[in-house]
Amino acid sequence: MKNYILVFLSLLVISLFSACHKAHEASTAEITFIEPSINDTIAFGTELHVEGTIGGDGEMHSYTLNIANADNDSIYFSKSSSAHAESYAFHEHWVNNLTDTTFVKVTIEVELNHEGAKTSKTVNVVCLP
Amino acid sequence: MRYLLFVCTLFMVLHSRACDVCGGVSSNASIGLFANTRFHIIGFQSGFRSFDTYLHEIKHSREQMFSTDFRFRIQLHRRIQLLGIAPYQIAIQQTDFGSNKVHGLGDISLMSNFIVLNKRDTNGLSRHFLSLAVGLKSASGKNTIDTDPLKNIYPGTGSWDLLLLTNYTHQFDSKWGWQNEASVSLKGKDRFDYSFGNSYQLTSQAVVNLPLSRYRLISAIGFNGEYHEASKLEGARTLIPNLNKGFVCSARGAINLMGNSWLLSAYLQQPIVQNFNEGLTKQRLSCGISINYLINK
Repeated sequence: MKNYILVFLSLLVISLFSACHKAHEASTAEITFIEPSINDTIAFGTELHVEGTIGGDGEMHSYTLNIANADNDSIYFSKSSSAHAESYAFHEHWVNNLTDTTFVKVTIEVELNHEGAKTSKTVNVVCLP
Repeated sequence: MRYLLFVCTLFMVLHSRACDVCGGVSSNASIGLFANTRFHIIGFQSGFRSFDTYLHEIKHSREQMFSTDFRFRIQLHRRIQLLGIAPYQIAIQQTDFGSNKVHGLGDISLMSNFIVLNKRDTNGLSRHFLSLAVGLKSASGKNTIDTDPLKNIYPGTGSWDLLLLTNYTHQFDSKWGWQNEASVSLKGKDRFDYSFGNSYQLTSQAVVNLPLSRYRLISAIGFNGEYHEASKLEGARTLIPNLNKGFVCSARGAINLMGNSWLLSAYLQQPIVQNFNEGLTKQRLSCGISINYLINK
């Protein structure tokens, strides 16, 4: 009977350790923009289509998409995800409502791990009035 | 009692088949085998379906749909039935950046079912039963333009569709039966000249009918196959090639409990093989429950 209890307790401990095992955290990630391309021009009233992928070498912690003024960092559009995953696919649209010719930067910033390591990539486009 | 048992078998495939991949309620309505019963029927069915959408082979979103349909059937004549379905749907799309919710009344459908063959044996058991149905799905539900990314989770398609359906049941004995249904939904255009592709559906299942105390328990197991043509758009705008085109073959099972004029049903359907939107959309397990009241004519 003692043997059965020991086996049961061993299995329980192994299960608990397995459950607590942390996923391997990312130390680097590759961000790929499928759209937009560098220096794309976006006419007034049309959509800026942002699409791409993020692939990490482990589990990433979050990512943010920002569309902002390249000169003064005013943010026109921002969305964040706190999903933990080894890969992300993003696909968002923002309508150009700017009344002056504006250089706009599209940035993806990824938080890689609990230590707060980050990586990012930016593509600049031109928004026309 | 024999009539009651038969009604029960008929209801097992009574579920509104949604969708153009993952939107638009009741495009291929399924009426099951409405045989020669003496009942008018009224009831509700609730269902749950979900889909995963992939982008560049990475899961991008999950769409979940909860629907409740009000249903009725009126026995107009010994061989003619009128059926109606009014769905209400709540759909949620979850992405990395949050969730979107769309809810509202779906497209109301009306169908007439004509019983063309009902061959009975000397004991009165219906051995061969064949019916043909024709119906219309209205554009009454909440819908949106095709450029809306949430188009496929709206409860309505915005089009009037023609529904054609046939049912055949072979009863081997008082316990075992084989039930088949084939349907076509010919899709119309919405007000933006967009139309979902025509869809085709085939369901086949074995049915076993057993006594359970004062009730009857009727179980079924079989498969369901669907094929959807690509969406179309008239005018200057163009669509992504093969949009919403695809097929799915699913295993399905259902149980029904009937007694005291009430019929309770539940079903599960699990996709086995599928390819929608060139692999970008994957249907997941779907299920449903229904409650119906049978009224003597």
